[in-house]
Amino acid sequence: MTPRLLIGGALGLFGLAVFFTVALPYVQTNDLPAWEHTYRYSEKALRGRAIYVREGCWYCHTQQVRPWKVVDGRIEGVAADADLGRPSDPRDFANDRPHVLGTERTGPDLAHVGSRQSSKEWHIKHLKDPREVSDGSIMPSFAYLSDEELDDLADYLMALE
Amino acid sequence: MLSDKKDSASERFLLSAVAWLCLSTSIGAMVALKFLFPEWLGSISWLSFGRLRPVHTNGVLFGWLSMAYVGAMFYILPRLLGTELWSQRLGNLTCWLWNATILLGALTLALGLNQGVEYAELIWPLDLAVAGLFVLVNWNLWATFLARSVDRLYISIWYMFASLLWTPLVYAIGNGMLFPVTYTGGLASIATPYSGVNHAAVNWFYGHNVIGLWFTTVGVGIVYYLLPKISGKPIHSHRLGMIGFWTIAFVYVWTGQHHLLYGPGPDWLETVSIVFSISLLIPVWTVVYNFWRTLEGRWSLFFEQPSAKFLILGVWWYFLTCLQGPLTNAIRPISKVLHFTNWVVGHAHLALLGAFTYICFSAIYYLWPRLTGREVGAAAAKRHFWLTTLGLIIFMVSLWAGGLVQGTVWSYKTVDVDFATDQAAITGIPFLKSVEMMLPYYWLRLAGGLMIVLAQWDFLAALLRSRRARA
Repeated sequence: MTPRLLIGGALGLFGLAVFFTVALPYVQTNDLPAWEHTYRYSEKALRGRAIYVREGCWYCHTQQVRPWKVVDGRIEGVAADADLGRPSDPRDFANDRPHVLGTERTGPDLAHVGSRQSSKEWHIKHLKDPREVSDGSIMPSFAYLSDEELDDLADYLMALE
Repeated sequence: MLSDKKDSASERFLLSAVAWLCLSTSIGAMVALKFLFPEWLGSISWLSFGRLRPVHTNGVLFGWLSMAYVGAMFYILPRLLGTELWSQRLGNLTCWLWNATILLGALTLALGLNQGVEYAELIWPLDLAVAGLFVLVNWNLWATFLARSVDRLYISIWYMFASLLWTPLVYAIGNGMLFPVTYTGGLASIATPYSGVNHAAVNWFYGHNVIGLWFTTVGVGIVYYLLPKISGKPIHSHRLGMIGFWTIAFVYVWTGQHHLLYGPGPDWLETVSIVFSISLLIPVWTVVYNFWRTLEGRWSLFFEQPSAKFLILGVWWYFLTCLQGPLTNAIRPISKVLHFTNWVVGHAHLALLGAFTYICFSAIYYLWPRLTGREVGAAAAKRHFWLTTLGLIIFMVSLWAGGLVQGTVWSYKTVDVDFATDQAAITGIPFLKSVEMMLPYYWLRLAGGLMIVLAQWDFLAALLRSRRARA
């Protein structure tokens, strides 16, 4: 009796939670339809995205703007994100595999970095020698990437609009 | 190599674990150094920050803590079940395979083979290997369970065997192993059936439950075993322990989305995670209260045995981290300031390096003489405790204070409304200013971290010295 209670109880409670917190969100949010702000990647940008994942850029940069709006001259929602641009929508990420929403901001959020900085030359220079264009930055240099890889990575960053 | 000597698998697992602890914390210190000297070793791809960070996290999670847990269970569970471990040979084989998997994991991560999911970075073939290792451990321990000579199952047995069932499932879901594999992005051989915000939800279901249903529940099982052994008193309340077990089994699994508060995922899932996160205070309280009452009148043990020192402080760190999690990280108004800051990094370290690492140390100091017939030197044990503890306190204070600085600076905004056009202009403090303000805290973290690393190498040397003395 007791072992059956252990196995059945442990797996039963686990299954219940998995149904609500994994299966339901899967039905609700996996493979969402695209909309006007969905990130769209060229083949080159997709290669750049794989480099972004491989080099662990996502450990220090988030790609999510939490909700905020200005009401009667005051910020409602998350003030910390109020200068980061349009708050993220779930459909923005419809093409993202894996997700790179991130959990830490050792460096700035990159959800709209492509709109903030649309010069490819700047991006490549910054990736090679961050402190040359951004004084006081503690980002590592990615000068060890090939020119082609840097170009792909810059294309990806510019696609984040 | 595949010895069938009693407890040889346990000893081998524990010693391997401590070796991974030394290596992984050393890599952690290298990563901490890179915050201050970003160019240091930065021109070599496999020594760059983004490659080494996952080696550090996977090393401490799956090398150090998980191997220490298996080593402890291989000793504890046969005793509680009144029998011998089903197969020492299989246990030793598991240990060799485990070490090989972690080594391959470290190498592939350094080479940039990364799935892009925090704590689930290992690529698909290694995911299968890790799952296989959990199957081997399950096999050995359930076979032991079937050969048991006791009727009543002590609290630790519930915690440990339930964790053994949950963890491979959590791992398989988190890594998307149950679905047909799809490869995208060639370079990183990323395999995921999940997309966008749903992938984030699965990521944190996994990330949180590998902590909750493996590191927490096996850790608590170890505490319940060591407590009566070290104090010489029966547990205050077996019933309270079982209430704790069933509440944590029910409550923990739902809480992952609190890593994504205000995120783009479903709001209802966030709210569910908040409610269940706060409910976690119930099982935590059962552990802490039971601990407190059992140790009543025996607190002086702290000064007498290293295992008691580490256990008492470990449970204290557990209490602190379990208050910090629900009450600061998992509540919207506080999360919106502290999310993405070093406050959260501090929380993760308090749980894994504070609570569960201390519990493992307590177990090793208690088990070591019983496994090898030799004590660890008393002076070495004291050094280990005080250097680790002082380092940890410096480390924690730097991360929390730094996190408060980041959160405050980022949240400081001025709004200028032009009433003629009804347009609002928002100005904040430049991000780079907050980076500059963090530097003193990064230095402090490095100082605390180096003390911790030094203490672990010293600990490994002490274990090896006592082993040599036996031979």
